[in-house]
Amino acid sequence: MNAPVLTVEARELALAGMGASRLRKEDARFIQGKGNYVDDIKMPGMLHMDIVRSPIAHGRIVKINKEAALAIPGVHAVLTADDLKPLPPWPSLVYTPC
Amino acid sequence: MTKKLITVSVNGKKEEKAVEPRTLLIHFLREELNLTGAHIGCETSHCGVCTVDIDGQSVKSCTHLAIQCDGSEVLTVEGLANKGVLHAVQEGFYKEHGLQCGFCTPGMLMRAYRFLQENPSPSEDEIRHGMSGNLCRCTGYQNIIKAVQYAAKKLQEPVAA
Amino acid sequence: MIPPRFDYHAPKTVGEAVALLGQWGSDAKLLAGGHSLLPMMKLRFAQPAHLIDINRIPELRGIREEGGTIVIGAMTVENELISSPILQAKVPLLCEAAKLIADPQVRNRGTIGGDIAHGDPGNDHPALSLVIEASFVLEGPKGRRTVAADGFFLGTYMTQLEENEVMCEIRVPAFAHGTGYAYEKLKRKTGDWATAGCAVVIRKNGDQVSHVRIGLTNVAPTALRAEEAEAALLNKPFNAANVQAAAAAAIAICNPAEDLRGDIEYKTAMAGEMVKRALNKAWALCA
Repeated sequence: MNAPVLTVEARELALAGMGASRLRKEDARFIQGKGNYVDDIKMPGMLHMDIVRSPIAHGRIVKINKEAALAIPGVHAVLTADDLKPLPPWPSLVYTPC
Repeated sequence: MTKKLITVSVNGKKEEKAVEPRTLLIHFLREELNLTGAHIGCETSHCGVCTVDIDGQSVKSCTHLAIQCDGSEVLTVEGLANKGVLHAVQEGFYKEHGLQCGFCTPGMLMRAYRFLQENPSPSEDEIRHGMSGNLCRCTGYQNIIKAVQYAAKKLQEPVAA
Repeated sequence: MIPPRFDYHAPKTVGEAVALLGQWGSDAKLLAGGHSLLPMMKLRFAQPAHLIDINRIPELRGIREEGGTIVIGAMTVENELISSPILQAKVPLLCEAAKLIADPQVRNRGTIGGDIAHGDPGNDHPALSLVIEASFVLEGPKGRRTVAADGFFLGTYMTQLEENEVMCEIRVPAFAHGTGYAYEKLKRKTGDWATAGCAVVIRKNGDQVSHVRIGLTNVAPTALRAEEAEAALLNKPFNAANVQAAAAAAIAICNPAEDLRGDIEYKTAMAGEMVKRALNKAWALCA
């Protein structure tokens, strides 16, 4: 026996929303430029951080020279592995001995 | 290297601010005026997420100094809607799913806004070329094309009195 | 990605700009469209103490016809080249080629003068200038002088433009009736510099090539005029064998830098391919 042929409307009613085209709720903010991405967040006393990476792979870090950076007005801190030593071990998926 | 006073009209509002000559327009908008709609993306003047409208032209605000806008009129995404009514390009992006993460969207909207004034009835090929200064990592561009087509059609409709 | 501090000047005349260049010398850079200079300053590859913004000098803008010469203001932006009725009629190669430069936003700011004066081998207008036989009007403290495009480009970021000079005009002879032209630019994506680019201007006399100029983009420290390639075609029939000979002659002078766009072998081969495509496309337009 063949199934009865439904109208589009009846079929959509039967699906109760599944497969229906939906407009998004979040678009309202994004299309008005109110996305609040990480760089948009401003908090009082907030500092900005940048990461300096090694320019070569598999290098051995002999020395990190912080003095020039710290001398620039507005630079609050230059953090390296030494600054992390007092912290308890970080949870991670791969065990990385410090 | 002292600051200079500039007068810029931003989204119709006159702003008088002292800026360092080296301040990029994108930073002026985001930091000084708290208009964070325009975004910083590639830092190489390619991606277009920083696109705004200056004196009737689409410009990448990351490659433009604020001081160059002294006496100019700047339009950003925050100025597209008119008293709460979305502009046709905004409606198009919403209705046609022209965005996912939304990061490129303000730049896309500002460019589409100006592009449709330059070319009110574009072919698909013309849209692709006209929007080629804006990159998107999410959508694959197909719905962005549809969004611009939607807006083009809507802008051609006679306005209700 | 913030430029270092600098002093900013916005002269209203060429004379003022020249005076500022004289005053600050090598500490100063001219700001035209800014889409070469500002990215360099953001990366701190360029750190001029003084920026001389020449965007507010009206006499550097505009396109006009003077007899058989088209005069293009150095501050004419790429989009203005594309839409210029004078250029579309008299030097259509510039309109077609400008569409291949950067993207719509950048074309609202990037200028023909800046593209030429910067001396970047990746820029397109140098090779175009060579084939359209352009000359450049430069103004310095002693007044104006005109320099032909041929010989203007000396090396990477080096041209005949002196430190105390401002490029004012690009002067181009109007194309003769029936001139064929093409610019073939291989690029990875919109907005990229050429992997290899070839500009051609050509005229015919029956089946023979009566005039040909071939220019190459981004396959050497400067744009190149491929004179040997031109000789392979001039006063000869335009056929596949001669086109192939021209391409081979062009390949012989290529000296590209290896980068992410390709190695030397690839770029050189692509230059040959662009030469062939440009010649064929230009010839098809010849009348």
